[in-house]
Amino acid sequence: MLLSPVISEIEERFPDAVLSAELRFGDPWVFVKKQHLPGLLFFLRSAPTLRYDLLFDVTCIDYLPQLPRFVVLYHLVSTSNGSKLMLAVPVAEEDPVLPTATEVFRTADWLEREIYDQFGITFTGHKDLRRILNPDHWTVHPLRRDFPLGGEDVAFTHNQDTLRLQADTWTEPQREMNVQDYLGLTGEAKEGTMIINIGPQHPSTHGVLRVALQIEGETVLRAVPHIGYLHTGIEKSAEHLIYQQAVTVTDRLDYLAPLSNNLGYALAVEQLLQLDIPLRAQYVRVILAELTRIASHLVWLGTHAFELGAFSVIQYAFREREIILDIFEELSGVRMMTSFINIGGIRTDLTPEFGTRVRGFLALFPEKLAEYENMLTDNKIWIERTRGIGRISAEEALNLGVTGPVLRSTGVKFDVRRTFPYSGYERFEFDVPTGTSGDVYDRYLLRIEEMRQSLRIIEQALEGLPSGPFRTDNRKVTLPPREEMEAVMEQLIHHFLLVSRGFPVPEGEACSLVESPRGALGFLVSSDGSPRPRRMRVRAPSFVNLQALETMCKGGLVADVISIIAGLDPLMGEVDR
Amino acid sequence: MADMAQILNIVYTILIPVAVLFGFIMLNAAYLSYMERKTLAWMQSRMGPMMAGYHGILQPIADGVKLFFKEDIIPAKADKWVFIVAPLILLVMSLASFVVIPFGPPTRLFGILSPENAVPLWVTNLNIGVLYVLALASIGTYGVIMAGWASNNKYSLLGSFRSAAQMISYEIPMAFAIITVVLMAGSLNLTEIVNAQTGKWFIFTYVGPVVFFLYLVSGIAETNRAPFDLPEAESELVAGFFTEYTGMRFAMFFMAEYANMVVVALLISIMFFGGWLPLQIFPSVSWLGGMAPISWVNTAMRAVPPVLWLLAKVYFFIFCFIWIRATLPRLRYDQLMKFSWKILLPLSLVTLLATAFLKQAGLL
Amino acid sequence: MLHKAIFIYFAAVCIGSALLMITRRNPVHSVLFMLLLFFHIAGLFVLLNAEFLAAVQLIVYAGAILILYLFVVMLLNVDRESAAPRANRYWPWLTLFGLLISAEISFLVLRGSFPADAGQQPMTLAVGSVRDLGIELYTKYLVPFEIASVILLVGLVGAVMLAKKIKD
Repeated sequence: MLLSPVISEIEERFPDAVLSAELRFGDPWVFVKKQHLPGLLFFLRSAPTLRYDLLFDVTCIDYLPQLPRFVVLYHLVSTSNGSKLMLAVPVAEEDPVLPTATEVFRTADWLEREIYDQFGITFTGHKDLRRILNPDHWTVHPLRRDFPLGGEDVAFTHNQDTLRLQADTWTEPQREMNVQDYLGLTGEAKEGTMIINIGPQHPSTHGVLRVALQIEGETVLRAVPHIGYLHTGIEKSAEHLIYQQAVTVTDRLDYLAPLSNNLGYALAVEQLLQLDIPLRAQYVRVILAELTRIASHLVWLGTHAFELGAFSVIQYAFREREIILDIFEELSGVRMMTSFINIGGIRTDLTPEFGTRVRGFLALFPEKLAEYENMLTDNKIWIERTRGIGRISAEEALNLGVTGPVLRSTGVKFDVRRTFPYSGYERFEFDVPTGTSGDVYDRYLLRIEEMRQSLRIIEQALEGLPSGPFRTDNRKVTLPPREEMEAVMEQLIHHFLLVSRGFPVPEGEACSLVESPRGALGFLVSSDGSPRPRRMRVRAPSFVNLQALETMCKGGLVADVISIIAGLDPLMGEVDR
Repeated sequence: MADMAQILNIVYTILIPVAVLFGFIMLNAAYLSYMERKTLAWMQSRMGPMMAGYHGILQPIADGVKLFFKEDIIPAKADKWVFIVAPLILLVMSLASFVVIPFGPPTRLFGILSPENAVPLWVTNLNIGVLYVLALASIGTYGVIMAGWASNNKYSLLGSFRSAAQMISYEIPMAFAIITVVLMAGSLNLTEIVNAQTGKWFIFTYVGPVVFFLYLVSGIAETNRAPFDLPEAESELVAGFFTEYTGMRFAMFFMAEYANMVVVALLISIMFFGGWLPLQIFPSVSWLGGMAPISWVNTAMRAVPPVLWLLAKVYFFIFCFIWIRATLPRLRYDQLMKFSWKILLPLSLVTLLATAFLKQAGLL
Repeated sequence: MLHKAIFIYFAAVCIGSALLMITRRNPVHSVLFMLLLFFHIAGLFVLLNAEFLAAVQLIVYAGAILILYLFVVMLLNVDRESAAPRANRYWPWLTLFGLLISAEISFLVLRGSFPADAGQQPMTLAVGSVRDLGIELYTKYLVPFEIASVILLVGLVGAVMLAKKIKD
């Protein structure tokens, strides 16, 4: 059985670890026993022929009523030779314990906490296994399949009574906990230090992020992010929607770049359905994704400058973003949550205006970019505030699972569009800018350059935009055209069924990777053959990137924390999902 | 009888000028906020306030009324009296600065009054006017520190520490800049400083631009305005030392900030740009100044009332402050301190020495 | 008449704030009363036509020295400070020193070497005039002035050295 050289290497090194192995949509899936896990991960990372240096995702699927109930997935990616590997570890319900992977990949920290929180699987050896998205006093694990949607009680007030109520459900260790432990600031309290909270209600945490800072004077000793304030259970909601409907909830993840999310989700489902997407739709998807990238980067630029006090830039950036949103509105009727890219292609064909509008933007934007750069790039204060701030090395960044502009600022040339091309990105010519020092200034320069590259891609895609259908002609997914529906009753029934019941998707798992403005966005869709997904996992780049905050902040000043958060550009809708 | 005359004298020379001045400052503070918002809006391609009155002209009044009727909150754990006194100190100190500032030479109201009855455009012509302003500015720091400490809030405390450190640090180059001007004019009296510039404004001397730069930078820092607005850096410390303040108390901080801004702009105009003296093109180069078009312009400019000259200069500098705010990012705390101690302070010392030499050599 | 009333106001507030300053439990409040005291002392100087001295009093004492005190006091744990017993074991010595100083001042006052109506007299040397003050300082009192500045410099260097040692 020689599916992939990776599998044979694993079998050679760990002869009794592998349960089974197969190729799913071109990627090797290896089912292994849990005892071998940390050693196996270490081997995969360090073996010179493999070098899976990025633990892209750790997640779990609940296969109720199958046995064993859970499968924990370790999605490994090699940034150097561009290969992917899925390690799957079956976990029985009676013994939901796994060895931790945090010793090998620090990125597993939050990902394992999330699995513990959502599925109740514990990880031995994990140093800080607390709930991460759901309230601390909960006893349930919401993403389990037998947990009903809407079955949780949420305290919408936060007065003394609810606090006391929560305290009643606390376990003994929780009750004993002091504030420092509660905030994750473990270790002995140092004399002369102070704990301050930045957030959740703070002007510059990009939503409801809370960072517990331990400071000495103004020097940051520790910075522990607390998240979950915006947790809306999008993954759970998606399990209860038909596939086409679930597109709309993906909009709400990264609400500054909804089309990237649409695309990632559509790509994953389309793999399961084995659909061929017409070239025209692929080109339009690329144009839209790149426009979204520019719009999202503009918000980043504006807020970043605003938080460092240069508060005119935000007005300029939003002025240009407005043009992009107007284009979206003209195209889809919606400015932000367009859900325009859906399974099977795009929702409607382009409007005749679209091309001219986008060309108008392409002609206008380089000049505006120069204007922003004129205000910031050589500004002495701007350089002082960003250069050398929030520095992180390439090794640390990879170990922490950081992707996107933040990873590229350290010099690692990992861009999903280049490494694992999707939706026809291989047809376009563009550069992947990288930085050298991994500081906030590099991230700034890099994102500005990315906007330029996006313009290039849009230009090429618009030039070469082929004619033809804008959706797949597979009628299992695509609605019948109006004329047929009005003439043939079967088509009307089919239309009705597609909209009300949805289409079944063949059993299996598929994952997609796209380069969202914030980093590598992954969707994992597991289907049980019904019209609703068994599990939709979102590997949110903001969530993983945010883990690197402490590494970047340590030793800096309080003012730098703001600069670093802005440079990370996390989006809480995506972090908390 | 003597007492009656004395009391009337007090009313004429103190109470009425103070009342006029107070009205001027309050109106200024209110409409400067309007000016700031409109200017920023214009620079950022926005509209700014538009709803209250024509183009939002009544906005400051609406804001004032709103703040006046807001709930006055004193945090339970605050140090009540210090909390109440802090904004008062800041406001009183910034208002008190105005009494020594001359707004022009004694006016005869376009010839209505005889020369001996000319009304002075100042409340008091203090001998040490400049020092008085400096002293009040240094007391104003207490308002900031007390507000931060009394609020019993970590953000406020950090904000007030930053602010105090910043104000103390920038007072020193500021004082040196002022002393350099005093050296040039040979007096601590503001009226005499203006009169000393009759031939040539100090900005046009050799050291003038450097001293002007020193005073401008430290003046902006002293008023806590961008790019030195760290104490109230909202992106880090929420609102800094006045995070916990609401309603009228909050408004007091606001008014104090604008009043301080006016004081700094006034001092810049008085110390470097000839105060109420009209701009004269080439007054020292006789053959150029004698050329017909130039002398017509000069005559025309002399015809503008001195008070208008001063106010025009003041509003120009206030516009510059707003302009700077719209343009520059904020400095970080340590960079700000480094800038003061390592760049401004040595520079100001060198300028002072240079001025002394130039003055002795008769080159000023 | 008015002059006297103003003098009485300043003097009364001076004494009152000085008393409050030494009786407050909260050191921050003490410092703030001291500020009030300095302010009113400056007022007394103005009444004596010593405007320059008044301004310097505010700039140097209130604006620079006291504010550093306030800094230190605020950084201390005020709750602990104010909970500490008011009289520690040094109190007899402190009382003794206090009495000695009071006695000395009373003696000087009673000996009557101060003119009782200092404020009313036109000054021979206008203290308010900076020019005269400068000339006096740089001619007659040049040596003491320079010595004072050298002492201050020594203090400055010493402070820098102390701060450096702690950091290393």
